[in-house]
Amino acid sequence: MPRIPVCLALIALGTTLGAQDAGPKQAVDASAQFNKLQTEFRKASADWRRQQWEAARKNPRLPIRMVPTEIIHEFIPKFADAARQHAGTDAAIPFLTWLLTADRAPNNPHSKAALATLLSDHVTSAKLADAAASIPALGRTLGTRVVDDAIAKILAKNPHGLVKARIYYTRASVVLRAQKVSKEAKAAALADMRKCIDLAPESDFASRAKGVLYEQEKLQIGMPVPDIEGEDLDGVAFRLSDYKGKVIMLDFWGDW
Amino acid sequence: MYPHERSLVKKYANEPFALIGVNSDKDRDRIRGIVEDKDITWRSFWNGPKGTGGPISTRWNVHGWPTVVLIDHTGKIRFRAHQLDEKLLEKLIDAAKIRH
Repeated sequence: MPRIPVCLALIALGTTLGAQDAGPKQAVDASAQFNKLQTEFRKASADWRRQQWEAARKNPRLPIRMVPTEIIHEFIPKFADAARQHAGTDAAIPFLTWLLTADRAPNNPHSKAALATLLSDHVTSAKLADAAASIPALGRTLGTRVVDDAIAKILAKNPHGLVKARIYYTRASVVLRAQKVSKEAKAAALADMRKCIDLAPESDFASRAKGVLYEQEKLQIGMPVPDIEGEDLDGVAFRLSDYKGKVIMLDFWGDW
Repeated sequence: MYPHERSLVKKYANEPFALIGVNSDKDRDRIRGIVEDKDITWRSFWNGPKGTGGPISTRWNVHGWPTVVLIDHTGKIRFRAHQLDEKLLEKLIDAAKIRH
């Protein structure tokens, strides 16, 4: 094989990577690039954790840290570079979503910048779903006003049911997880769960939202237990109500 | 896990008590083998091939394992948590015996 065509091919590849048009080739490259970066980050974090445990074993008085802050900060510029490289196209969104949630420190500039770009460049994208699922839970990181404004903007401008469904689901979950919830806040959260079901009825989030509503409406302490119909491990059909009159300990278990 | 549940089943063998599992293993054949090996004598619903994402646990909004629910002899839910409150279980069984 002559050498020149190989060189030409390399030059051609170089121009493709630098090109602005977001063809399918670039989308494939970007997703491979994201997966590679994420794998590197996970490996570095796992190594960091191993070192923590080693150090703690040798010196039990050392405080154990759970968040690999140095590793996160080492990777932030890499994800930020990639986001800039794909700026303005959907391919940037996974990198921005990573940057949005990587550093949880209050008011950190990386989360703020990522949110600003997601809202200015990508607010109508269908690919915003993962970011949408995170934003309502970032009150401590971004401040509740910034979060509320972001939610309002996405709900107003994004036309995709799944994106909005995930906003509603996370917003409601954050409220229901709190120690104390006012009656009004709880009612609003349950309304959010219903919107999630309406907007994306076939999604996993809708099934979970149905579970939340079922628990709130049918499974509270003091309520009569709803029946369960199913099969046992041998495939024999039975019902929970077959054991009526006894005290029942219902045990959700698995061998893992 | 299993020894504790086995001891409950034994302790309350002659009382108005039933331990009913909801098993969330994906592979029903594998779990049947474990049931035999570990002498699991109580009955379980199977949550289906989706495992922890199966229909019973999803409907009941269970996202942590184990989860224990206690139902009194009148059919009312009295307790839900990741760990059993044994004193409450004993109280509920005592109450059920008085009625019997």
